[in-house]
Parts: sequence; C-alpha cells; structure tokens
Amino acid sequence: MKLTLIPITQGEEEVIIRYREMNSQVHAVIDMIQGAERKIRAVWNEQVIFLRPEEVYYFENVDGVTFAYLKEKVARVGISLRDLAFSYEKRGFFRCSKSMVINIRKISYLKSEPGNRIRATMENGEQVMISRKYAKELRNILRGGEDEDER
Amino acid sequence: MRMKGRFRKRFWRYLSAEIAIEYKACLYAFCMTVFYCIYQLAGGVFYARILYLCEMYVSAYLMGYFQVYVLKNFDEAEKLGIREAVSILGCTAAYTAVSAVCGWFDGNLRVTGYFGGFLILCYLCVFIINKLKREIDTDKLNSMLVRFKQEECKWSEGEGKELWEQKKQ
Repeated sequence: MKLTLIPITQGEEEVIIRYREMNSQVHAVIDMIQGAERKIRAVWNEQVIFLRPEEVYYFENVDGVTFAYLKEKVARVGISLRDLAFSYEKRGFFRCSKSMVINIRKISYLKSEPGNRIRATMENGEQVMISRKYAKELRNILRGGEDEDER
Repeated sequence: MRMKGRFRKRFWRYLSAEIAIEYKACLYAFCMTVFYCIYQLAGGVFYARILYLCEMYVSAYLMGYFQVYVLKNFDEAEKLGIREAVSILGCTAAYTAVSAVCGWFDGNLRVTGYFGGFLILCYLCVFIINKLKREIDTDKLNSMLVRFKQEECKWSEGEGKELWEQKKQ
C-alpha cells in the first residue's frame, strides 16, 4: 500500500483512503482512524472526563458499577463490561474474568501458572489472575497476532 | 437456563479433574511398572504378574484421586514447600505400604526401600518437569505478547511518526 503524507499548516487534518476493494487492511486503517476519536465518557472527582482507551489499564465491575483504572486514577464508567469488551476488542481489550476487562497492551509480563492459568502483571505493577477458561481465549488472541506475522 | 449453565460448569470442572487424575494415574503406574520390571529382570525373571500390575494401576488411580481432591495437585505446585514435601513423603509411604502388603517385591525390605526412594525421585522429576513446562510456556506467552504489541503498534501513532520521518529523509 502506497503511503503519501502531506504536511499542512492550515485547515483541518484529513485522511483520504483510495482503495480498489474493501479488504481487512483498509478496514483496519478505517477502524484505527475512526477509533482514535472514540473516547470513553467517565466520571472522575465529580467531573465528566473523556478517556482514550489506550490509557486504560483495565475495567473492573464492582457491585454492578464499572470502573476504569488508569495510571494514577480510577474513573467511573457508565458502560457495561460486556459492551466494553465488545467495542474495544480490536483495540486490545480482553475479558479476562467475569468482572474484568484488561488492556493487553498494558500487560508487561505474563506468567504461566499451575492449572493452565495465567498471571498477568500490568505496567502499573498490579497482578491479574486469568482463569483457565479465559486463558485459552487470551492465548488465541495472542496467537492471532503470531499468525498475521507469519503471513 | 441458569441451572443448565451451572450444571455444565460443574460437569466441566469434574471432567477436568478426572483428566488430571487419569494423567497422574498413568504416569505413576508407568513409573511403578518400570521399577517392578527392572526388579524382575534383575532377578532373572522375564515375566510380570498381571495381578501385581493391576494392583499398581488401581493404587495409582486411588492415589490420583487423593492427590487431586485432597492434596491439591502438589506435584504441579509453584514451589516445593513443606506442604509439598510432606505430600510427597505421604504418597510415597502409602505406595510403599501397598507394595509391602501386596508382596510386589517378595517381602524384600531392601528393594521396598529402593522402591520408596525411586518414587520420591519420580515425584521430584514430575515436579521439575511441570515447572520447566510452565517456564517454557511463560517464555512463549511473553514472546507472543511482544509480537502482539508490535503488530498493534503498526497501526498506532508512533509508527505513523516513524514513517513520516523516513519519508522526510
């Protein structure tokens, strides 16, 4: 795919995609451009803030309320874990337990545990235990990356 | 629907425990068979008693249940602590007692002692192998994670900047 970048000094930034057929690569570019603007509405310190999904370490459901854990703050989110996992699946979010959705890109280390479980250490040092059921899914997601690499 | 889901979950849990027991039973029964066969060969005997083999397999199955349901899979533990050491000695003592009662080694106490030592060695080997397996899996998981992150980065801002810098040059 040919890439042309033209710097501008005035006007709105614009992306034009010229494609012969709509394939997965073009879709990925569209998703990336559209997704970059899709922020998550959250409440922090009684204030409404908009979070970039990339900055979220994980989402957790506590007593029916969803919280987004960031580097130094925890914000309340009005979206269910199910919807978050579905909406941000392509951006590296993964349902790792009944009450948690983690950002794979924020995992710094994975450790194989007895009973086919996986312990994930996040970049902020927190540890999340992924049960056998969800560990299988995580392996599939990670392997997906490997397959694409081999192609 | 909820009942069905709960039943399914319980069934899978039961099935996974049964598979673990099956695996352990096969593993330790094989170890005992090897020792028994070596003992027979060393004595110039070229046959094995089916009854003894059956006793070994049944005891390995029973011990498998005990290991999984009571001793919490100690041979797959993360580290070899006091609990694990006691479990190894306990299971070895149980197997050794069965071998003495059933007369697998013709009442030879010295061989029965060697059998106990051999089983301890087997347990330690299984523990080390399981640990190594997990370490290899950990390496594999982390290399997959790195690859996944690199793949993701191709579509992130950083890569765009790099490409832009390359283009400018």
